Amino acid sequence: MENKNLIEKVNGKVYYALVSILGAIVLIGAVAWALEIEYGLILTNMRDVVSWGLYISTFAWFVGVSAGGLILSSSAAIFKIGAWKPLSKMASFVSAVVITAAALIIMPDLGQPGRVLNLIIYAHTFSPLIWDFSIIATYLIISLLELWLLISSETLKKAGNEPGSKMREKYAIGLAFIALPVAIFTHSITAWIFGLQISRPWWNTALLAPAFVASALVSGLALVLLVILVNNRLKLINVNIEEKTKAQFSKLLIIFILVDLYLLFSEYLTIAWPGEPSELAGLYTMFFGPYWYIGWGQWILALLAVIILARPSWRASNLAIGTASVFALVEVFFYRMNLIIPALANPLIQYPPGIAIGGGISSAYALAGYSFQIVGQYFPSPIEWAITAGFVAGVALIILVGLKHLPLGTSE
Amino acid sequence: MTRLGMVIDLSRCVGCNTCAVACKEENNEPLGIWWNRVLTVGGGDYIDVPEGEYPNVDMHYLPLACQHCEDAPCVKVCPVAATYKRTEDGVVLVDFDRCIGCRYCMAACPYGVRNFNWGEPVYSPGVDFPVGHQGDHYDKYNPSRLVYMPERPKGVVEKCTFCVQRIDNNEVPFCVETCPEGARVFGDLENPDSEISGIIQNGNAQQLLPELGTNPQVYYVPPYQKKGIVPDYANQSVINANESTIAPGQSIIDLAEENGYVSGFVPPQSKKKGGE
Repeated sequence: MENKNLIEKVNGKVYYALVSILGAIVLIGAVAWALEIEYGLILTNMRDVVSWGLYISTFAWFVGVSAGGLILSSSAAIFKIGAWKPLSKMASFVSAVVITAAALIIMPDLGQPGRVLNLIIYAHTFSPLIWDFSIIATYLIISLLELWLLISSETLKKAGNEPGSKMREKYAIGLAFIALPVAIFTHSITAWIFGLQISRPWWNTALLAPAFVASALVSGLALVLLVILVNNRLKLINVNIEEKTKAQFSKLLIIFILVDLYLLFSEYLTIAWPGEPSELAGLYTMFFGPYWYIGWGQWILALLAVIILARPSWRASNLAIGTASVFALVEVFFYRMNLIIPALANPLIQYPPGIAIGGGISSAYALAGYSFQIVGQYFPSPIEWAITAGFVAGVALIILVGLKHLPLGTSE
Repeated sequence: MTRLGMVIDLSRCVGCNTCAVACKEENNEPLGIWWNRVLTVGGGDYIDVPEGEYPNVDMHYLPLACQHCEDAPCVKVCPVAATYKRTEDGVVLVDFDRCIGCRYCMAACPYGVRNFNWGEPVYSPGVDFPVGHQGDHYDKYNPSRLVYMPERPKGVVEKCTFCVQRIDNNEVPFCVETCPEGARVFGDLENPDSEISGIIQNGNAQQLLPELGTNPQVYYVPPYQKKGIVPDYANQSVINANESTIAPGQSIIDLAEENGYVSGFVPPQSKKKGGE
């Protein structure tokens, strides 16, 4: 008894320590964002050649990471996988939080964040960005609805209203049939923002949407695994997860990573073998350019995750699953960076003096002759890191607090 | 209907950068922003450096600004239709009141001709007043669209407008007026009798990156002795002198004038510029 109390006490301390650290990171991010709003995007290191950077990479990453929850909870409902059902509420909640973060991290990337409502007032429906905002809004509503149905079904059950509870459960299953295709389209449309552009050969491939779905499954499942592990450790909610389920998820994660790597290998071979220069530029920049460590890092982390999870004796340990999940999450983040930066760094027309890097630069900078780039250069600025870290910490914070205070566990 | 376009004769262009500077002045472009640039198609990372080894050297210039594409990728991607193609004359414009600064158009443009205002505009030291065209200009055909202002706010995208504030007042773009070599011809591509149509029909005028299907309204006449306007991996051969209808020292524009083509658009060049 005393022992149990002690564990609870320690867990409580760990929880509050985590909450304070994450809260501090969110605060730093908020200050950085305030500075960026005041001075403009000049505080970032994006310029006219590489005009999208860390924010858009993180946006695409968040969209992918949000996949796990909704796909898990709807698969549990559609395919009647009983062992996954206790996780459904938690998974839907995680989905809703991450997809909200995805929508919001567009804000610091906008030059005129005050005009964001123009997206509704003047929506140009031909633009893939409008498709994406629509599907993300749908996705968010569905995951919140699913969450509400699951929670209220249980509340009704507790109150003794058996038929009402059954009805809600039925609705939840019906909604899952919509949720699954919406999830697939959310990832595909996010890929099409990039994949439909003829100006960027590195993006312009029909494989991009399937690769986004595959990598979304990787990162999404990895986050669900990570949340399960953190919850097991801190005992925030009561969920009954069999060891078997964790092993199942680990094996699924291996399959998802391998499918993703297969698609990417197919893409890279199709670029490398014919050797068309404008296509090759992206591949070359990814593996041998200034960002080579992200290029190779993606593959190394993905393969390491597979190796760790492939051994049954390692797979049994929480530490191994946790490490592999973090590797998988980072691997997919690297994939997004590898997609955005090499594509933008290699414009189709590369003659000197190059592209003017944009307005707002200081006169000293311009007079020193740094106002053109032929090949784009980019490394995120401290402000970009701070804002992005703030978002990631915010997601972790809300998931943590949500697990503690929302009825996301099973009642028994 | 009108479809405004431009032909740039690369055999006339000497790479003097007058058009780039004239553009910067007329449109009051801040530091770091060049709507119009003169690229060196040569042998390296620096301007004015030819390709090859003396005496077999090779180089020409490629003035580059917005191509005002018929099927413009930037117009297709803009989520708020801040970038739009004016139906009356096919000019691609940016509405500075509506742009949200997402920069999707910059990712979508194959020509890299869009500039972003990352911060408040900064000008050369000592120049604390706007030069060039004074006062805001609203689209002649869509008066709610703010398509020119002397100082653009931070966080919006800008680019060549064919000098919309001038063409809406029946003047030619400033780069056309100032080009010392007369390498630029501006006019209506739809009018078969215009000088520009004559050049395009008669000569070897080409679009940039035609394989993308964007169908630019800016055309280039290749430099002397060359088939293409940029080095082409599939088509590297030099034009055969017998095939050429252009004599050395004669440009494709002279050829069109000899054949009786006249400008259908260009008003008298003596008209005073910039005055309101």
